[in-house]
Amino acid sequence: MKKIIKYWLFLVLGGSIIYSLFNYISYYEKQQKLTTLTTEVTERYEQLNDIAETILKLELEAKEINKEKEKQIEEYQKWVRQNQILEDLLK
Amino acid sequence: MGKTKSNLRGFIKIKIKLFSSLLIFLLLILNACIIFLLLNLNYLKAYEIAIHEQLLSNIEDTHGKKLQELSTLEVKIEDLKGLDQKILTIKQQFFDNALAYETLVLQGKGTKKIAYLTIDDGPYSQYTPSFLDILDNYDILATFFLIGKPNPILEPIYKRIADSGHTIGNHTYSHAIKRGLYNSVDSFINDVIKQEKFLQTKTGVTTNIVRFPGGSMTAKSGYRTEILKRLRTLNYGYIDWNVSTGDSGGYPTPTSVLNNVLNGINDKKIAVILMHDFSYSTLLALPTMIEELKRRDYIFLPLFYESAKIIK
Ligand SMILES: [Zn+2]
Repeated sequence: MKKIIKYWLFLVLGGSIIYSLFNYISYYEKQQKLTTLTTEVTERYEQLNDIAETILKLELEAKEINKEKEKQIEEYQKWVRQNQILEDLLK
Repeated sequence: MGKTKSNLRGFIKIKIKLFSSLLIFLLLILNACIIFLLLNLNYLKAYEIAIHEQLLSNIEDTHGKKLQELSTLEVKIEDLKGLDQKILTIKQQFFDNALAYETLVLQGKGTKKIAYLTIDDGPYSQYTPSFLDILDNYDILATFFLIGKPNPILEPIYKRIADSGHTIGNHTYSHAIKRGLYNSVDSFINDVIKQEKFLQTKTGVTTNIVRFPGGSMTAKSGYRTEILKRLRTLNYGYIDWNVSTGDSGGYPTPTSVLNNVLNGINDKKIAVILMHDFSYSTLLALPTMIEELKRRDYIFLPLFYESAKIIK
């Protein structure tokens, strides 16, 4: 009887060790995945920051060009308006 | 003695069995703790992974939006940088359409008639800016037949006329009708060339339409044919007018200027209206003139080389 209990205890111990190993593997995989994800998040963040910086730079550039070309923009719009009158008449 | 030994062995065996059972039991408990810990850690990691995945998806979303924003900005900047070309293209389109519409009007079609406002002898520091203001207010393009005035005060006015999109015509440099302009073919042609160069430096525009000071009939008949031939070789066309404000002589008033135009226009399909920006009366009459002409179904166009009204 005692032997049977011991046998079962061994079996349970073996099973639980396998189960804990399985859990450890799962944990290890999750940890790996998390490391990959963290790296990816950091990289994407950096990329996002780069884009945000580029956008900021371009916005400034656009603003400057806009200011520089204010007269030309007006001139262009004037021609568009004048041309539209003719386009409408030619329809 | 033998019995004591055997009893001791039996006792040790029992102890070992008990100890091993206890050890297994302890190991089981330890393992259970480890499993508990691992399960918790796994749960935590799964949670962290979920958070990171959500974060990544948010970043991807923002990334997509930012990229869209970036490309819109890039297109905008490209557009701004290409504005010179765009202006050239739209101007070309405008003048192509102007020619098409003028042709239509000359064929008796088209719902509106055409008025070419032509403003001669400027620029003048006193009134030309006001003429330009009125044209700007009505969003109208006209034609300025300019003469050569090297006064630095006038430089911004030359520039403003060109920048506003009005057509710049050559009215000779000197406008010296009574001081030798028409004395010979060369005197006239040289004056036109001098003015072409002058206007190039002041406005960046190369002229190809000339208006004879006093009108083309002012050139003596002997020289006239030769002058026209020479203008042709220089690729110039010329234009007179068919409606005059009468603002260059006598005592014009805003009313007389307006009446001259409204009587002279006489429902012409294409009116080339002569006025001068030295005339205060014309300046005063201009807004009413524009409104009256609009009411009479006229549209306002700047002159262009290909126009049928330019004699080549
Ligand atoms: Zn003149």
